[in-house]
Amino acid sequence: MRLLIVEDETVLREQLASTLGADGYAIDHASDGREGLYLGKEYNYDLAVIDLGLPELDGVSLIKALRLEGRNFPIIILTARDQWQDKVEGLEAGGDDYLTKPFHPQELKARINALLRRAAGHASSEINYGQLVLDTRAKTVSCNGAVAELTSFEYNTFEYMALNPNKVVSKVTLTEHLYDQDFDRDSNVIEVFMMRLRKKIDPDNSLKPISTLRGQGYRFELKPV
Amino acid sequence: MKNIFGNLRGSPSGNPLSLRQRLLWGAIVSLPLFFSLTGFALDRAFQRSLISAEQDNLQGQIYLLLAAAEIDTDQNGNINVWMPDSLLEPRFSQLDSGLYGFIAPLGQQNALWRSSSTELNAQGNIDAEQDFKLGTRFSLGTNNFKFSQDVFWESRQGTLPVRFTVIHSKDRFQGELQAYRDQLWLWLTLAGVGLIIFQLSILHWGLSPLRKLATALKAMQSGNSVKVDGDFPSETRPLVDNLNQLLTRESEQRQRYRDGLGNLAHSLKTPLAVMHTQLTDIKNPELREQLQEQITRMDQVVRRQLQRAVLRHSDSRERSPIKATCERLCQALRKVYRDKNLQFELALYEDLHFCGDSADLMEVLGNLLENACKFSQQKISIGAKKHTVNGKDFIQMVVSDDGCGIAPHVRETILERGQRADSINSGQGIGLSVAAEIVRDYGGELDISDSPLGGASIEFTLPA
Repeated sequence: MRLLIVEDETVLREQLASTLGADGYAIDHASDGREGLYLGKEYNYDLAVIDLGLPELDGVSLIKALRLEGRNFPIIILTARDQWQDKVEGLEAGGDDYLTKPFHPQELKARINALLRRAAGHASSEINYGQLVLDTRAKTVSCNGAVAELTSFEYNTFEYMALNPNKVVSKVTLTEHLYDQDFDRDSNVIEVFMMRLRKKIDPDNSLKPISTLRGQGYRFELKPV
Repeated sequence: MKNIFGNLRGSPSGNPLSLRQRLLWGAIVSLPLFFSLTGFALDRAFQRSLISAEQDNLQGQIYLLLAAAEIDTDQNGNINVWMPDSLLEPRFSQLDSGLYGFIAPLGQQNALWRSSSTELNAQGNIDAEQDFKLGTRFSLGTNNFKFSQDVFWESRQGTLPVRFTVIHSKDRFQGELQAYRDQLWLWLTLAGVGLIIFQLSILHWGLSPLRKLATALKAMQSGNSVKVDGDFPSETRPLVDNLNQLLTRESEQRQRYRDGLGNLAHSLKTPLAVMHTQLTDIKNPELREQLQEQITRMDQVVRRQLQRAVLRHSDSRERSPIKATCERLCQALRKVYRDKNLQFELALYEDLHFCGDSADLMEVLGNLLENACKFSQQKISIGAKKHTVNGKDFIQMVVSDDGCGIAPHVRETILERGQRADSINSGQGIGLSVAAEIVRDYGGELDISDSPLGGASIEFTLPA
């Protein structure tokens, strides 16, 4: 999952980037509204965390501009001004949730998870695909009740595929959603990565949850039960 | 006298008289005085002119008698007067005509000649005792005018001092004077009443800009307008301009104050957020917990104190729509709590308005609705109605949910006046306590009870 963080306070921005990055999210960040708008228009993010008090272009205007551009990824508003007027304006502009500063990083992670899950159309944090179960809150994948030992990148790859079932996901799209801008986009890495993931979640190769479409990419074949 | 002016100064309750009443009283007191003096002066002038005309008339009658009379003495020295049978003035010959003529030599009580008109009338004091003095005399009696002229009459035996007297009854004079007075006072009264009516309409017209100003101020006070609008005459324009300037300045100052505090909140809270995030790097769980607690306390104190400082606009002139504000908040919260599939039941009339700052209204409703959303299963109901207490309009609102409710001992802590922010730790506490404080700032009350839906019911009043 690729997230955009727009926050002018350098320390907080970097902390958020590293905390969320450690969870396996690909993070791009911007320090002002204009840069945030450029990134938001340029890349297809899965979610954005936007502070309301931003230089150059304020948070509400940034959210409005992104929605006008047709960007419909979920947006979490961060605000230090915990006046309802600001929160309502942010939500009316196109925000999906708000978090008042100071916040606990776990709280932000929980909100991000909930919004990503909701964006994929799932009400519960546990999504059951028969023998495979994805828990977006615990960030685990279990096969026949046994939790698979996944790295955070492997989990995110599986989560992204599982939340976009029956869609052909190209290697480029997958790279974009899993890695931040500076990542060297070598398609071999994705192939190796996918092979390892398949082995971990489907050791006896009986379920075949992710199929390869030659020249096109991958597709998640299971449906939620 | 003191009492009259005391009463004129104002009503017993101490309210000063209105401008209209002042001007009206002025007109009511001054106009009759002015018309009385005018009437008196005109009456005097007319009376004088009547008397002067009468004097001229009687002088003419004397000349008539002088021309007609023939006076001479006989051998015995007796004075004889001959007058023609009919004189030019017929009233001398008519009985009791009111005009009487006398000719008498000086020093004699009885006249030598009396006009026929005196025959049934005892009138005829010819002032025999008065000294002879060549020339005329005019005097006003109670019932008549008397004009006499002393002359020396040439006779065969020398000059005779003779007094010609004409007496004219005052009846006609009185009649004319009375008719004049009747007309005069009738017209003066009509003019006075007309003038008061005219003055009232001038007052109405003249004071209309002030009435308009009062209406504009009332509209502003009730929140229908933020400044005094309309065209005003040059005398009141500076007042209106200054008032508008003052209002704009005050509103700008309020906005600056609010922005300043908002910025202060922003600059305090971002470092707190940084500290919060850095806590994850601390390995010692005890230290982490302690720091966590202190940061939370600091955050709550900052939040609470800033909110208290910003939300003090109970003197605001705004009129904030209740229904529209609730709908905006429900829409926003429905988005945030989408997973819960919340059902909002709004029983609100379109015309309900809160007389105060819209940000304050949003803060009260936002805090209460967020709590309701957080704790409810699915149903949240919002109701409002208007009612009047001691002539003042209030909005009574209820926000209820089907959640777990609020325990009685927590209710007391939340509603305690001047509660310290860091002493409230329960999930619902801070939002409710902030809402209660704003409601109290506006002179309202907030109560927590059990809702028929099963959860908490928050009932509060705000000025309408």
